Amino acid sequence: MKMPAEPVPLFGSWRRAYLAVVVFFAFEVALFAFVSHYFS
Amino acid sequence: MSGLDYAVLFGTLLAIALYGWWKTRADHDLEHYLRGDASIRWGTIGLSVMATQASAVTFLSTPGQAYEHGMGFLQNYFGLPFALIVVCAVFIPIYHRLKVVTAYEYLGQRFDQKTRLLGAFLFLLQRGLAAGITIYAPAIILSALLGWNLRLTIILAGLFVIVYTATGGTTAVSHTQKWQMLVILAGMGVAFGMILHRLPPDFSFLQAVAVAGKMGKLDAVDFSFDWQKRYTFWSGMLGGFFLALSYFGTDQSQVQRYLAGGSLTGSRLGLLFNAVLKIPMQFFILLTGVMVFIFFQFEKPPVFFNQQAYQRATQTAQAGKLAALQTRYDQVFAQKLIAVSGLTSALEAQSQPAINAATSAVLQPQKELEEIRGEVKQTLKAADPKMETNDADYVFISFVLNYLPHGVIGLLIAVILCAAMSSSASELNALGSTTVVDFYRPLLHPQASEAHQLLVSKLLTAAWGGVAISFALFANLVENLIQAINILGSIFYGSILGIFLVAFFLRFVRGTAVFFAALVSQAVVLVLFYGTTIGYLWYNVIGCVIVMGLAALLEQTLFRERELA
Repeated sequence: MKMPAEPVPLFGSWRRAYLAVVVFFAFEVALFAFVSHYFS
Repeated sequence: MSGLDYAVLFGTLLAIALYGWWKTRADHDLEHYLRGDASIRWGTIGLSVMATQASAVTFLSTPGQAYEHGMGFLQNYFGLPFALIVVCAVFIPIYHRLKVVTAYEYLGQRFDQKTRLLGAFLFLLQRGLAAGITIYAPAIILSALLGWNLRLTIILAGLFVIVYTATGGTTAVSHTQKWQMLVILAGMGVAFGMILHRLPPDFSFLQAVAVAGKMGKLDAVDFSFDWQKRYTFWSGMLGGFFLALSYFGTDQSQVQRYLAGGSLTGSRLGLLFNAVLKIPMQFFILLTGVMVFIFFQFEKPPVFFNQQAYQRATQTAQAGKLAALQTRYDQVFAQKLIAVSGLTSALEAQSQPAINAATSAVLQPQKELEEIRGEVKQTLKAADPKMETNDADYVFISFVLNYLPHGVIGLLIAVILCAAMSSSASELNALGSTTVVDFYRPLLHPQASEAHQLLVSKLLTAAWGGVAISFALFANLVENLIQAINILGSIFYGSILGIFLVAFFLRFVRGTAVFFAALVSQAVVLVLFYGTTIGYLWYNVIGCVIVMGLAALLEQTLFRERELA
């Protein structure tokens, strides 16, 4: 679906904003896995 | 609770409710009542969406889950960021373009009236029941621990929400939720700080985390493929994705939140705010529960956290057995206390063989304590077969009431009631709006004036509040309150989501096919719920897949010829 053009604060486009959310999630899971493993 | 606690509690609740009333006092516009006004910005939307999802059970049950089972519950939310991205990219543009008030209006435009009514009916059914639990959950616990009258607590909490929700509508709900969520976040931050402050003076936060890790409480990610486990990375990613997609994309109590304000950018930013912050927030709440667990490694916890129920049982023929179990519990706890000190020393010395030995020395009495607690629960059941023996929901609030200073207690009771009120307000607002927009207006009174519709909307919102209060008055405590709400949602969400995904992505499918596919899917999920032990998150996937697959099949076979004819 074609997204309507609109200014997106901070990220410039919605695609970049969505990508940032995914990257942040991957970082979180990696951190949780590391903490679980490190302290177990 | 002291006078200071009551002053903090009622001061907070009243100030927020009065703010909501004040913001909407001169507003008599039906559009604003149902959709909210333009003053609602993305930050308010983000906090409002967060407050709607975070009900009182989030703050009562989640720390208790972590106390008993560790951080694994976090995985339940792993699919959420992805679901919110899909809602932002696919659902929201369509809702905005069609200027719908409810999500089910879209189904009427895409399919037909019967499919719209089915979607709206399934929503009213599950959300109407959930609204009862939302009010009941904090009331049962607070009344048990504070000696408040249960029925009076339910009625007063319900009436309080009904007044500002029914009078102010969507705008009042969004503005009050912003402040309620800020109180919640501040209160949980204070609670976390106070727990750390109550740990032994020479015991650091890092040591607390290390001990929690050795005792198996920090395992937040489980990559194993086990269908019977409630929370794994995969069930969270897949089941959690479908649950969140259905909840945020099709549940009117959420749709109404992010459509408030009327700006596409505001709606999207409000949801992405949650996509980023929801998991850290849940992590923080679970970590609070883990820290309560650590606190109780040094301070003897009650053998059963619902002390009122326990005291009642000590007045029965089981008193002798309970006293013997209590004595054993005290002895084993004393052994464990020594073992925990040994583990702390071993961790400080960083000697792996010593750490392994000390960990075993802690886990053995810990296991024994859990067995004694199991025996206590059986004995309580023998004393009163109707007694609810799951006390996880009482863990955090018991800690708050017994170990935190006055003023902070009032603040944290306000947190729980703010959370209950914010979720209830969204539910009542959505139930009232859906009943007016999807049932009353099209079926009963298509020519109604705006003033008439506004009056009916307010009356129906209040009426749904009455239904929720009635349900709460007759409810019984279920195993775990937050799970009860998620299970209830999962039973219906798969079918509703399936209808919407067919609408968005299977353009060749028409109303009749998707209508019957949804009925079949709902029946299958109910059979699975009553007849199997499959983890409930999978209902979302199964229900959705059945609707999509069957609707496509029916459209290509049975209903193709009929509709062409």
